[in-house]
Amino acid sequence: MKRTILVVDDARVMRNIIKSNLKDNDEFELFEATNGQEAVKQYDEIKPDLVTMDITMDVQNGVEAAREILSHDPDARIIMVTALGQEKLLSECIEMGVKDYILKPFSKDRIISAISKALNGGSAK
Amino acid sequence: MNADSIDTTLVDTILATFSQVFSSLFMIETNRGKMSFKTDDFDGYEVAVVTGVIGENHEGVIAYRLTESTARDLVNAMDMEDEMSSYGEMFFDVIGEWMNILAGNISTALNSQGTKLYISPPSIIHGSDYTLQLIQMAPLMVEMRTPAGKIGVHFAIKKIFHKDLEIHS
Repeated sequence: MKRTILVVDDARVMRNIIKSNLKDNDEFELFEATNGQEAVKQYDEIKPDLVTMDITMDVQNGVEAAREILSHDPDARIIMVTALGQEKLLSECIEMGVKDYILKPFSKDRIISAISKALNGGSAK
Repeated sequence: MNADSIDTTLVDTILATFSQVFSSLFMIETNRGKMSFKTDDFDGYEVAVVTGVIGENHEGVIAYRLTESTARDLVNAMDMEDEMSSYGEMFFDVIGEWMNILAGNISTALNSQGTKLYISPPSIIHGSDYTLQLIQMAPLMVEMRTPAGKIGVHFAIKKIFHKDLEIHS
């Protein structure tokens, strides 16, 4: 059975990069959201196995969206994706229970390893 | 900024970070080219990205100038799904992401050296008929050479002393 991944980022290019890094793997089925609010709605509908979540987004940012998703589903697997310089927000996310984080720019190996680890029960906390 | 007031540590760190981020993001190597106080070397380049800089001891602007052709190559290098046809739509996305990532990396690199600096989100100018006038000082221009074309990095950063300013990153 395929593992479902919800890719959340307001920049289409970043969503494309993540999808492109994962598309060779038949194991994954990919969904997209362009802001936190859409991510929460889609999470409730799809119940994905994993979410990659950008931090800085309009409408609702990734920290708020992660908090809302985890309040609905404490077992949600969320990986934060961010640039350097957001360390305080990342600490907040790790405290609230996200599984890992990836710093931009990232390599294909890094994102695949973070996703595999999170899907297999690893945690950043 | 003039020859007597160049903060070489700041400039070197920013350019080294520029090269690292550029290489990771676009898989394109950069080499440092000539350096000058001439302001018109990149006139006619169709893309300018301007970021504000404020810190405990510095304030000013860093601007990046490149041709449309270079920008197109960068968009294609970064966007793995929608080559060429979507250049227009992806342009601001790619340049914006590049600059946001660069800003975070520069701030972190400088912070690790004890220099606290905040870099604003980028303002992007796209067009052939504009004049870029930075703050009332002769900006230092450093040419970064890439296989996709030259990129001009313009530093108009002056040293300041804010007694009560705290920068939170």
